[in-house]
Formats: sequence, C-alpha cells, structure tokens
Amino acid sequence: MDILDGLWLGFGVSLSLENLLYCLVGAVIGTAIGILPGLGPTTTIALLLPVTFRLDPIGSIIMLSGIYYGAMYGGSITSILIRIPGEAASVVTCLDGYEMARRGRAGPALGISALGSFIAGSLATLGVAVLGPSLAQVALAFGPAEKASLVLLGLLLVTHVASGSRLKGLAMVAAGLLLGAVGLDPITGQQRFTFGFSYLFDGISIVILAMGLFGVAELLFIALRREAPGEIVARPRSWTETLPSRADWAESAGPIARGGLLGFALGLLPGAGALISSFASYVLEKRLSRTPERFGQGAIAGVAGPEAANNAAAQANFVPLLALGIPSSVVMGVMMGALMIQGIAPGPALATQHPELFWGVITSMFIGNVILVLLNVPLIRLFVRLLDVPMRLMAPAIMLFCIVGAYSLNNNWLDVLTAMVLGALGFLLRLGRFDPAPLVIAFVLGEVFEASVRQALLISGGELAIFVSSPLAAGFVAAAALVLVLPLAQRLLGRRAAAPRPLAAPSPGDRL
Amino acid sequence: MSPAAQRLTEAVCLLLLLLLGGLALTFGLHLGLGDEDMPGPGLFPAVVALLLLGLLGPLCLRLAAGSPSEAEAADTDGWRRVGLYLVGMAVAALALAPLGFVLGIGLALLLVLRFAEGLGWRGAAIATAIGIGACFVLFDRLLEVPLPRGTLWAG
Repeated sequence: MDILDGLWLGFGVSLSLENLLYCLVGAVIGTAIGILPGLGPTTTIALLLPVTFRLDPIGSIIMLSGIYYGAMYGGSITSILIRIPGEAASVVTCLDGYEMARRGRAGPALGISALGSFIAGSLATLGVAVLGPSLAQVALAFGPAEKASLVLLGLLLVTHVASGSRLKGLAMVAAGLLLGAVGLDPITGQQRFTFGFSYLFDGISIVILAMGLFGVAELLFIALRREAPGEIVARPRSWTETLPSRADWAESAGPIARGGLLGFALGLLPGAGALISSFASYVLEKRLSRTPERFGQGAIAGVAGPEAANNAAAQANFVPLLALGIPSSVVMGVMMGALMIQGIAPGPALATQHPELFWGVITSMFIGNVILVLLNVPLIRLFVRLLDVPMRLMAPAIMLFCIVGAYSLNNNWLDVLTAMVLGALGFLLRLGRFDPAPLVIAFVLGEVFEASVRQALLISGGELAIFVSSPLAAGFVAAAALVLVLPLAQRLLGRRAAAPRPLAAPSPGDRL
Repeated sequence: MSPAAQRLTEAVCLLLLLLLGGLALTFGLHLGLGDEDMPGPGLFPAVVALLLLGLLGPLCLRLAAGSPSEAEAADTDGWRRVGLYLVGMAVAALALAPLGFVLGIGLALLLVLRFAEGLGWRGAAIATAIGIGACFVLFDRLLEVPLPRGTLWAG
C-alpha cells in the first residue's frame, strides 16, 4: 500500500463519527490535563487505560494519542500565564511566554504557541506518514538477532529519559525486565516467579503497573506537596486577542519551521523527545537571533520555536513505536501497553496486519491538530478557568479514578490493592530519585527482548556472535556500546560536556 | 524531608532492588539456565538479576560515601495526607467486594475528603455523592463495567 492509499484508508477510519468523537474527547482531556499543573500526559494515559480497554483498539489509541498531543498544547498555557509548566516540555515556554504575558502580550504568546504547534504538528504528522511505512518495510526483514540488538539499543537510550543518575536509570531498566518476566515463559510456557499465586499466572498487568507507578504515585506526590496556586498574570478577554500580528508572524515563521524540523528529528530518537527538543530549539533560536539579548525578555521566537519543536517531537515519537515496536518515551511505553492489552503488537508488521489502525492513528493526528487549534484559540478563556479548581477536590477525584479504574479491569479487588502497593513503591522510588519511567519501558519491551535473545541463541546454537553477525545487528550493538561507554569515557577524561542549563529542570519524573 | 531521611529513602530503595535482584537470581537458577541448544526459562532473569546486582554495587558505594540527592521538601501535613490516601485506597480495595461500590468507595472518599483534605462533613458528603454518581454513570452506565453491589447484601 502506498502512502496515498494509506492516507485515504486512514482518513476513512479517523473521520468516522465514533473516532472523531474519541479524537475530540482525547484532545479536550489532554488540553485540560496539560493545563493542570500536577498531572502529566503519562499519568492521565495510565489512569485512562482501563477506560480504553472497553473501546475498540483504533478508538482507544486515537483517544490516547489525542491526550498526548493535547497535553503538549495545553501545557504551554500555564507556562505563559502563571509561569508553571503544565508538562515538562513546556518548561522553556515559561522564559519568554511569561515575560510576554507580563508585558501585556499574553494573547499573541498563546496564539503563536497554538498556531505554531499546529503548523509543526501537522508537518510532523506528514513526516510520520512518509517515514513510518518505509521504516516498517526495512524492519520487516529483521531476524531475532537484529530485533534483540535494536531493543537493547532502545533500552539503553531510554535511560536518557530518566532524570538523575544513569546508573539508577539502568537499574530501573533491569528491574523492569525482571518484573516483565513474571508469568508465562515466552518460549516454553512455564510459570515463572508466580509462587503458586494464581493472580500472577498471566504476569503483572501493564495497566495496573502504569496506574500504580504513575497514577497512584502522582496522587501521593500531590498529597505530599500542596503548593499555593500561581497567580495568573493575564486572562485573555476574547479569542481575537490571541491572533498574532503580521510582525509576530514574520518573527515566528523561521523558528516554527526550524523548531518543527528539529523536534521531528529528535522525536525519532528513543530517549530524546519533546523536552530536549524544546530546549534545543530555544538554544538554536537564541544563537541565530540578531538580538539574542531579547530572549528571556519576551521574544516571540522564544515561544514559537520551542512550542513547534515539542509538538513535532510528540508526533515523531509515534514513528519508532508504530514502525519498530520500540517506545521512544514513557508515554509511548504506556501506549504500547494499551495496544498490547488489545491484543495488538506494535512493530513492523502493524502496517500490513492492521492497516486501519496504523493509518487511522496517523491521520487522526492531522484531525487532532485541527481540533486542538480550534479548541485552543477560541476556548482559551474556558480552559484557563480550570486553574481555579482546588487541588483538595482534584486529588480525591484522582484517587476515585485509580480505584474504580483498577477494579474495572478484571472486577478484582486485588488489582486495586496491587495498584496501591505499586503506587507506594513508585512514590518511594521517586523520593529516592529512582525514575520509574525506564522501568515501565523495559517492562513492556521485556517479553520481546527475551524472546528475541533466546530465539537468536537457539538459531546459533548458543553462539553469542550471532548478535554481531549481520551489519544491522552489529550496528545496533555498536551503537548500544557507544551509548553505554561514551558518558563513562567522558567522565573519566574529565570532559564533562558543558551542557547548557538555562533553566532548572523540572523535578525528576514529575511530568514524564 | 531532611538529608538524613533522604539517604534513608535511597537506602530503602536500594534494599528493595537488592531483594528483587537476589530473588530473581535464586529463582532463575532454580528454573534452570538450559544449555547451548536450548536456553532455559531461568537464563534471562538470572542474567538480568546479575546485571542489576552489579549496578547496585556502585550505587550503594555512592550512598555510603555520603552524596545524597537533593531532599524533597514536605511538611508533616503532607506526610499525614499521604498516609490517609493510602489508608483510603486500602479501605476501598478491601471494602469494595463485601460492601459494594457505593458504600466501599463512599467510605474511602469520605475519609480522604474529611480528614486528608479538611472539608467539613457536609462538604465531604456532597463531594462524595457527586464523585460516586459521576463514576457510576461513566463506568456502570456508559462503559458497562458492572460495579460490585456488595456480597454482604446479596442475600
């Protein structure tokens, strides 16, 4: 199927009334979540997994995708109005967005952020449509050795997702692989680590794990830190205020184009994603600017570039997941879990085995972007009101959702108890500065990793050389070795890369 | 949280991971590593467990050397709320099947709203009723998830 046929099929799927509704619901929830400081897209997607379990696979992924890129849009609103990023990727927007708002230009800041995100997001979706199937075609030729070495590379790269120490990130990957080994052995079907407890025969559910480590743990963090709400510097009076002027557009066009390209390229890499791309875009625009001193003082390019970059990266994140079956971020890891509980394995065969889902999700991103810009520009005043909802009501509502969501999975109270225990564990890990994000990604990749490693060893009669026998596998292994060794070598040689730190990073794991 | 408490938290995390690694290694070896022709079901967990234990070594040394991460700022009220939320969830999990959705969840929600969030009895009761109603409509009616009615009243 060529790209045009695929897009035709995809629009047929995503423009059905039902899927349009899922896309709209996802975009609205995502925007609302992006606005609310304290809840991130990962937490929300984890909380909503039990709900999507009841929907058809295409509808559920369209809705979850809508939440993800909706949160990217919504996150910038609080960055601009109260200097609190709704999610991590919007941290950079605080710098110039908030300054613009303080100087009475909240409207254009909000407008360029929404419209820049729309342009970059739409172009990035086109990139996903072009690149996704081509990459999947290449990946179809992968044998177990190539698959295992690619997953190994992915697992090492996701330790970059983790905040804090790389060693802790690697330890979390190992813990995730071990937790993923609970249940049936993927080759022999033998029970492992179940201790005769029937609840564990099918392994730990990804839904319960994600709900616990992100949903319940986030709830406990909200309970722990009750921060005073930020002061809104300006409330837009009408949607026309949000339309950027011609001069604003002239200043923003370049940053949007560059941010979109940069975000798309970085979004393809496991571990990079929206947060890094927005920082990279900001640094790039400041370097390219003839008036760099205006950055930090309310330069519209400092809003347009990073916002375009983080939305493009959010869309590009789907390429490794849909084409290779490798989640490049924790959100994609949870999304992969959502597909797996529906009985669909993301990967190179997805485009051929489930073309409606593959193309439906891609085209729904176009539609989602249109919905989001239509929501964000005229309904901005309504969304800002969400900031008035007190956390003392929000936190119990999250708890309620955790309990009923976990229970609804199998109508089993043990799921609620497991989610609670995993939540307490996730809370403890985060307090100890162990980011659970790599654990979840390793958990979802564990089965395919183990199965590929063992299949490769079976084929080679136990020869480890099989993992470097083909150029592709050897390339992935070499890249994995580089990812592992390079930071160590840099440290040993005392060449600590002078990473620019223009802003304090968000608290670890908070908004991943 | 004081730096000492932060160190203690990190130590507990390391201990839990050590326990996980140790258990996985023991049971992995017990399951069998297999041979060249047929890798056994215990091979993968045992190798990963060894890697985990190897990674924990430097982390333990780092902790012993006294370089704790930045401490989490929180007051006593915050910790009280965390405890109450955990109690609320445990109450809900244990009461859900015998008491049913309305009473089981209602009890947990009321507890949290009244004691963790400091709402008055009337406010907490109203918020509980709204929360339960909304959840019932979403899950029981729209998503057709049968919420438990309670085995105690089943007859």
